[in-house]
Amino acid sequence: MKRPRRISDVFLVGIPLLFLAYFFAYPLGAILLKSLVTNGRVDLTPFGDVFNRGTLRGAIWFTAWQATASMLLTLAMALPAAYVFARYRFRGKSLMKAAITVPFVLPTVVVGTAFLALLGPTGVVDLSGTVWLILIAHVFFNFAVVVRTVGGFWGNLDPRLEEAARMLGASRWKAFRTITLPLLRPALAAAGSIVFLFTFTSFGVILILGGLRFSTIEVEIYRQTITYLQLPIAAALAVIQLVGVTSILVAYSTFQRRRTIELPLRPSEEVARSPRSTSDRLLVSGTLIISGIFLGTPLALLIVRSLRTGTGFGLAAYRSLATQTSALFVPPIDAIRNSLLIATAATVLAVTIGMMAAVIVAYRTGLFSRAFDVLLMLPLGTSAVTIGFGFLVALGKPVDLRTSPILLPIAHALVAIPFVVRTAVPVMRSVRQDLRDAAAMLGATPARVWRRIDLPMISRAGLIGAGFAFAVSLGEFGATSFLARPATPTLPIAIFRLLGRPGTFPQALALATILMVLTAASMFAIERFRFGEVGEF
Amino acid sequence: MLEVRDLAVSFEGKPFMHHVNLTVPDGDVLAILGPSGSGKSTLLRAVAGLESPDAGSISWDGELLDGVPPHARGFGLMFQDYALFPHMTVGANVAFGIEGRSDVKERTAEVLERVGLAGYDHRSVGRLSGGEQQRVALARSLAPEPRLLMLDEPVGSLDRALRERIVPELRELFLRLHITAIYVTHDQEEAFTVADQMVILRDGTIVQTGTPEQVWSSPADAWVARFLGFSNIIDVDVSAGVATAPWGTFEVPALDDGRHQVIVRETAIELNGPLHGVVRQRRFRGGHYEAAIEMQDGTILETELGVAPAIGDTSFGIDPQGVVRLPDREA
Repeated sequence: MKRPRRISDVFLVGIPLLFLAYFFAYPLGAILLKSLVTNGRVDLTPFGDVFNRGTLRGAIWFTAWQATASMLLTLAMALPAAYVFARYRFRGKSLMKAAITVPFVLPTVVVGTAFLALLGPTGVVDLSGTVWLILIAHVFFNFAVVVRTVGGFWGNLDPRLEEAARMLGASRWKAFRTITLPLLRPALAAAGSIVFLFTFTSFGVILILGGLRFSTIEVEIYRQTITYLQLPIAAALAVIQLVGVTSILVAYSTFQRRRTIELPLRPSEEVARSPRSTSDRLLVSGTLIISGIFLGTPLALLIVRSLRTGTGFGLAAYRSLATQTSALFVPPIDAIRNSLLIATAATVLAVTIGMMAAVIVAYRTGLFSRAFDVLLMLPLGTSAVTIGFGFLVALGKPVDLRTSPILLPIAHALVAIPFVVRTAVPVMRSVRQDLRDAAAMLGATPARVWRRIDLPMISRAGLIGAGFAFAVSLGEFGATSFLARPATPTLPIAIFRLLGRPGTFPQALALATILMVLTAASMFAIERFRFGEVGEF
Repeated sequence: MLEVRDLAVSFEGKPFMHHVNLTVPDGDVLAILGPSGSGKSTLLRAVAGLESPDAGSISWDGELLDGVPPHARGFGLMFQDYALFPHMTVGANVAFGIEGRSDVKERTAEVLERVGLAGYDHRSVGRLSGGEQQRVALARSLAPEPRLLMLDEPVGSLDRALRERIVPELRELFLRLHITAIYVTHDQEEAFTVADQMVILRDGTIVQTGTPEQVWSSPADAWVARFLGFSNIIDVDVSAGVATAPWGTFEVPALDDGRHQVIVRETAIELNGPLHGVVRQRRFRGGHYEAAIEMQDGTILETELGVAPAIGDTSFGIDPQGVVRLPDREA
């Protein structure tokens, strides 16, 4: 094993660590203090208040069960698509794979708006006020997580294992149950925990679609802070949520490690085949069509309705974006510029810090590197609302950053760093030692090996990470809802405000469409840089 | 008895295998021999029911197997890289095909012992050597006593020494258990050792059928001859029992007059005789020597000799017993 290069390591570990310490640990500590300490004394009444109040107890219970239901529903609905993408070859496969990923990276506000248009009071079917609206939106969101995580793993699983079982007398179903399913379990568990985590901390979707009836811990933190100014109770809720999230993260990390057990894997290109029999073709086309309708309809309807005018179709809603309304202090169109500027700054920050951290996680072994890995994942698990709330509580001292224009880019970078790390690490690790050895045997010096073999792959990983960071920042809503200043709203904030006022629904639809297009554009840019199936998102 | 009639299979939408006919009588071992990409595995998979044919029929004892799913055919298939279930122990792998039988334990122990792995039940399959994995795979396919056992390059990933030990053992086992088997390989020596009957496959078509002796003594054409390892394939004019090649003449009393293609076996060339050439290369093979003799017109004749030839000018003769005429090419 190589000895770590000490001096560079100090920077590579130190800078991300400092960033996390000041912008993550410090705000969280401030929340903890706020929930536990009143007037210099330990005081647990905020926790007592949470459990004594029916609405808050209900919010905790609802958070857990809707996350469980969303996870199971997503697994059940996405598994056929995961299978089809894993095992079959068909025309337009990579394009379709990119297309199904679009919902996952769409801002929650866009998805909320789209489902309001589809299944809200003025929609095709009115599901408003039911939990189904939330669950369906959650499945819509996380569909790609299951297809990519489980499908990617499934595609590399040697189909001869299942065939061997068939030859030993097992029916199709028995072969699936006894061979494939147990081997898929780590991937299912990993995908399940990600979906659970995301829906456990779901904010925008619930805020927009849940009405007053359904509220999660996340939404309650927001309400207690913004509406009731009950900071200790909000802090207690944030701590409870953090405990829940940490346990899920530990489980996720365990499954991730177990995923690396030796399995007879084969490249999926070698394994995938064109559908041949009629039942194969029915399965493939049926699954793709159903998935396409499920994922496409809300988005298509969002666009169509944004173009609808009183008399027909036109750009009236878009034109009206230049006019100021009572919902915002500025014309809605200003939000586009704000969002793009903030996203650019956040991307630079997230990629710089994330790539430094990724080098340590990918190339160093041992307990420290593993602990560092978990530490870097924490902001992903910590709800954005908690981060925003923490910034608000903590960053007044020692330097008051709460009014600084850099505040939002920092908050967004914090949310985006885990994405950058998780994209880059597998790519870095996938540079196989034998490639480096082969380059060395062809006369390349270690520096040249690094430059010609490692660097090209890593810089592509960096570009993909940048695309993710940009998309994440564009759509970030949880932290932003605490931190955005009224005069400089971002796109999601503007949309949310417009949704909250009567009469501005068309403008909300138009702005949501613009946000969707911007996000989708950065996602498709990522697909151009992607190679193989490396990477976890 | 397995019968395959006029089988055609396509791969990724393209016709790949056509007019394949096979018969495997009970207790016989049929070797399917062919280079990689010739369709050996595809043929096995079609018989197994893992691949559906475009045309033709597969039947067992006269009963058509169309639409019978793989698990209901009563056939066993040993996969090339064994496809051992990585999440199960050796014992669980072997027992997979006989679950539900009353004697699972006994039967598992019995087949494991038969392949020389007694007491391996609780081992994890990930920790086995290549040879041990091969034997677990064999035990697993033998356990349900399939009426037809198919083996896809069963020793392909083992090293040479192990291969040479295991192939005769397999032959032994097939005979002792009266197993009906199809054995796929790209190695002719393996096929000769293991088979009662063999077919040679080229680009999805059977180019020769017969016993190993028949195939060896009269290859169907120059391609088969070359694939079987014969290097001296020569066009000659025969007249009154004498063959004329561009580089000289030799006696062939048994051949008819006319223009023929013949194989001159490596062992048919003996030092000291009427022909002249130059020994360019000599390789000691333990027990015998191989030498390449270059003739005047540049033709290289490969030889297998009992004694070491000197590098340089040499004279030699050709034993007519070692000259085999290939069937005339169709016009």
